[in-house]
Amino acid sequence: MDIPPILELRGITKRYPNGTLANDNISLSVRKGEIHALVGENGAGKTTLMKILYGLEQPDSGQILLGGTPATIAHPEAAIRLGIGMVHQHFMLVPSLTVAENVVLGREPTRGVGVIEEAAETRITRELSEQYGLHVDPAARVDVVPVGERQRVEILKTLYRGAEILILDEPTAVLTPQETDDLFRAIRALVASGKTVIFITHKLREVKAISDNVTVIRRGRVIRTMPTADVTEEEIARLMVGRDVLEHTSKDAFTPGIAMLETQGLNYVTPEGKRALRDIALTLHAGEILGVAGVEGNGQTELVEVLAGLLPPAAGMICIVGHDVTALGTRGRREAGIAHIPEDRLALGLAADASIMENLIVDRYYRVPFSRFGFLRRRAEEANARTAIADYDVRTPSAQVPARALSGGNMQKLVVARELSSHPKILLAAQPTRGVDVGASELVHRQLIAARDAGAAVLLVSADLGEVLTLSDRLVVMYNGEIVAHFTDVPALTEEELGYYMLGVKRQPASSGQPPAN
Amino acid sequence: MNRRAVLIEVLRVAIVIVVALVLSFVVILIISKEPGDAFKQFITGPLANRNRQGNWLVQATALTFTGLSVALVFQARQFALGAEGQLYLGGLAAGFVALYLPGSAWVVAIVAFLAAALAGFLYGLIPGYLKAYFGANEIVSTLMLNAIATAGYAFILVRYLRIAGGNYSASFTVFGSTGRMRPLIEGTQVSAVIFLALVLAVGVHVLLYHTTFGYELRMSGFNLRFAEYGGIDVRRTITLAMGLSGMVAGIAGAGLILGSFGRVNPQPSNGYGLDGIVVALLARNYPLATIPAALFYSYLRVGADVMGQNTDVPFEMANVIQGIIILLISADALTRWLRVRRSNRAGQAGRDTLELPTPAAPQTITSTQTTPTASEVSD
Repeated sequence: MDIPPILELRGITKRYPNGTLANDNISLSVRKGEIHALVGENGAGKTTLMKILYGLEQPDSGQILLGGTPATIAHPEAAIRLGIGMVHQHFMLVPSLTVAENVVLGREPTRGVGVIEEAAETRITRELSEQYGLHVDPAARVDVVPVGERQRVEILKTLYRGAEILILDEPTAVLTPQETDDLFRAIRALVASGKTVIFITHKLREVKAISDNVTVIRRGRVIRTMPTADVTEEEIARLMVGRDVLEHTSKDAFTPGIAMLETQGLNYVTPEGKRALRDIALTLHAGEILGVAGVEGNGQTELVEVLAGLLPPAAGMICIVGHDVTALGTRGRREAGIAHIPEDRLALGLAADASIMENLIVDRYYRVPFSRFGFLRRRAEEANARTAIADYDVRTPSAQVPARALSGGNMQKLVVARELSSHPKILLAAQPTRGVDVGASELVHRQLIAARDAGAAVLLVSADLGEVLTLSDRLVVMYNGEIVAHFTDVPALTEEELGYYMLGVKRQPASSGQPPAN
Repeated sequence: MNRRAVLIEVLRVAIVIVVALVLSFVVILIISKEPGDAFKQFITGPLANRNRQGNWLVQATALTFTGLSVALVFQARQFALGAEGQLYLGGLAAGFVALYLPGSAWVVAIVAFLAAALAGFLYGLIPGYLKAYFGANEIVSTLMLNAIATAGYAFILVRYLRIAGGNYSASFTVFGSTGRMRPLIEGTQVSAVIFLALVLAVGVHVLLYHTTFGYELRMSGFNLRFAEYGGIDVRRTITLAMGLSGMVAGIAGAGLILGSFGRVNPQPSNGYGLDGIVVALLARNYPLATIPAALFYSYLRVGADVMGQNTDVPFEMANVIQGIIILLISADALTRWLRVRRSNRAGQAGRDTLELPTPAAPQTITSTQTTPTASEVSD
């Protein structure tokens, strides 16, 4: 133990101005060549810790030591110079530039005064790509490149800047099982060539699959750091949440009722002219959860938004309990019984600067008891907020706080609270646990099942295969705007099998005349 | 809104004002041979006599109206700059009523204000409708409509309203010898319109924060896609918001024509329309705050006018200060610096949790019920 660890955090403490103690005396040590997993609920403080490490935040007290030497990281510039590279959960690539241009962005190889050498860009990218086994096409435009490759581009960016320590934030959130395997292979290769990898994840299965050590953070404190081999997933989950977490959510066998929502020949064309939905036909029955699996970008987003009334279909018909609602807008659909948990809660599900109270009534403010004669009744608004906060365990100092102040998991709980409290007939849930911690995910899953048991028809769109396999009574797979598979025996499905359909490798032949999903 | 947020906002405005005044003093120092006297005229000028005090209040009243008008649309995150044109048309409508409607002073006044409100409302609906249903950029449309309104006003005035005898304006007879509404303060133009401004400020506040329409407007301003997702008819909301904003600006015009001039004046507005933007910015788009903001800003205008008349510093100083204020008040960096002074940067993802809606990038609307147009949603 003579060589100091490549990274050490000692007593890192950070309190936000609103009083939250995000990091409470956190100490962590990572050896060179280690793969270290950091797990914890949203709001536990791991995001803050990584921000401190990357120079996006400053600790109130504590030390960061790199290779034994104390370091001050005032800005991401400093972090990069010190060899720390970060791959964020939401990629920061310029879609209209090529892979090579993105890799060198900000530090382009130049000849003379500011003239970019394009050949050098390509050469550098290719060399890095081969050196670390991260296959990319340097000349491809980023916006047409699949998600897995985009992630590799992000990793190459950090390597180009000389990163020795790579921080990966939720790297597998958007990947298929096959792509996840590719990523893990790449991580092992990176580590073999001397890099150190820290990755933040909620997926305990992956922690077990790839990490050497795991640190559990809860409420700003390190609960424990241990070798991954010494713990089970259940034990990690328990440490994260502080109690037994029933992630194997049980549900009764379903007896589907009447057809709540039917759609035939649904087509949607994006403003750019791309045909995002091709002749989709679906039926949702009361008391069932229909899962929609698929890699993002294959039409799932459009499907949900067309059903919700946010996007106009180019062709096709949508019926709710027999009534044609195709011509109705969002309010009409909501009044017909649709509720919608959107995949991007900040863009669609919430007004970040409006208060929690105001966010909770957007679908009902015009009705009694929330308003009368055009005037809002504040008391009803407040009571509604109190109930939602209590019932869904939303952690917030008050209902007046802007929604922006909440953590990701609590924001999602807020959205779920609002959508479910309208007792919908049909619930559209798109990526309902994305970026959400274990505790909140569990709550969301329980609520989805409860809604289904109460007779709602639930459409669950998710890129998280575990989630979609656990919760769905029936399952369809979308690829390239079409439904390419339909499964009624979900427990028998494996993630591997699903992966093939998701990648378009396999495809169920549509029965003659019958729409594939019914 | 919690107390801390209010405090920070007040502090922010106060700092901006102080800095602007300091900078303006520096400029005066440079260009004036007697800077001390010039600055003294600037700061104390408006209070020197009744005439100037009245001027101050009259300008403040007009600026309250236009400030409210702009605050309304800014809360909806629409960059509609049509207050000037709406003011002109409102003034014209009021003028018509005052000239041709028989009846007592009270009746005429009330009908005139209603006519002005209607004229402003309709004129405001135009850019609103164009924006909401066609995605027409409201900055461009309102500025052009301003030009149309002011030119149309002049045309009608010269062609139809000119009193035979050569005077290029049409005086009212209904209010008395001066033609103006009865002044509250002798020797000034301050009339009951000032109360109307206060009432309207309260009215807009109630509208924004206590009605369903106000909720729709604010949510559309916070996040247009969210409002649509929740079921709000954002097109109708945006259109109406601009209409209401025009209504308030139209009332400003009536107040000036009836209260200040007593006739359909060739130039009823002294830049009140565009200065309404400064007032709204100073008031951070809060209706009740437009009153102190208008009082402050009109004080500056009158002070600069006094200084311009009595010293070697030109009136344009007021524009310089105005520019400095606009630059500073829009600077997000100032707010951030205020927060960093307490501790490190706050909130999720490095964004300020207490950031109030500033008029940032104007929002556009994707169509829901018609075929998708090529408009993006920016936020």
